[in-house]
Amino acid sequence: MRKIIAGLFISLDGVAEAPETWHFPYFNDETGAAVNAIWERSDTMLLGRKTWEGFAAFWPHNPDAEGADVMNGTPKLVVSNTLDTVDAWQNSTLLEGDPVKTLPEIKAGPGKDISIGGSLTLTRSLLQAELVDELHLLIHPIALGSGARLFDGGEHVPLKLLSSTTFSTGVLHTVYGPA
Amino acid sequence: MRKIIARLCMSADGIVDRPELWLREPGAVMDQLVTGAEAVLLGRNTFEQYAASVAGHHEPVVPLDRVRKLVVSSRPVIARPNTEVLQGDLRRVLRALKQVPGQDLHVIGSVALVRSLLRWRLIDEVSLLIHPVLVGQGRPLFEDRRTLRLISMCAGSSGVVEASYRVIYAATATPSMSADSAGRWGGTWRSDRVAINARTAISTHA
Repeated sequence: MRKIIAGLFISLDGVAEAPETWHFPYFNDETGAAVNAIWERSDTMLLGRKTWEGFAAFWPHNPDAEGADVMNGTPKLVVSNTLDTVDAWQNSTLLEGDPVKTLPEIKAGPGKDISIGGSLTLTRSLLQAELVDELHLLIHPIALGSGARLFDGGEHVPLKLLSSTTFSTGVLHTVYGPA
Repeated sequence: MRKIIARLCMSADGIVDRPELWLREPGAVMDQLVTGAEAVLLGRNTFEQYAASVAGHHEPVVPLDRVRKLVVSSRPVIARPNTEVLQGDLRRVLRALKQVPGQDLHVIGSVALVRSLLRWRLIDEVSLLIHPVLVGQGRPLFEDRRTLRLISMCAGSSGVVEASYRVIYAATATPSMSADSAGRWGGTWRSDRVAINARTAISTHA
């Protein structure tokens, strides 16, 4: 069965919003390798609307940027009930309906694993529905104080630690699976 | 100079409030946090929770009974063996205590107290026992932006990651990526490589 693998940059106090504003000083080969390892196992990217819109405003217009081949070339599934079309970014398909119902069928179908990046709202609902097979948290040694958090209430989600690694920058790469 | 080290249980999503509501074994909170410290500092709420849990016992029943306890409280607290209430200006008292040679002081639980001590720049290190659970709600430990430096990471078969950090108080803190950090810690713990053995933690310390 295909696995859903979520990867997030997160602060020590649990803030996962806008990592582009705080994670760069810590980005090194180790972080790059951790992110690449997730992408290499996947052949599909799952995205929430906001994250997709943010990426769609950049990647299709910057085909020579580093990583553009992967970002533009990888098939993308966009979870949204408000978007009419996802034509603005090549290789995007709209996944309509309740992802909690549609994703199990997709997981049972053919293909490699499915990665989710960013997409906090979507990741939260999938965590609650126990559809996330691996949650990769790159815990940065900073506290941000404010910003959207990985998890925002609702029932507690118990997890199982699969591995924990330190990077030379002080970032922790912790991987959790369902309890 | 002695250090003041805060030890706290934390969820994987950064919540430190009320671990008794989300830990698999709520009764074990204190036991995890007391680790051979000679003396611990406690806020009033945490002390009262401990006192209630051992009410009626005069002999030591839990690890915290045997440890010297300094309680921060402006009013009297329930009498327990090995307990003193810290009197006077807390900032001055703690600064003075740090100057006295001896083992480091641990503040355990006591989230409100730790927040005050962070504001006063009295916390040198934070040791977080990161539990495998997402909780979502609770006040954050750090009230504003802070940079920290990872000192060590240790994980065990219970799924708890113990991560210790030095708190950085510089006015213009920049992330520490100095070469002397490389190689001091760098370890991996993986559940699939571990035999069923309680003492399988890989611990690397600066």
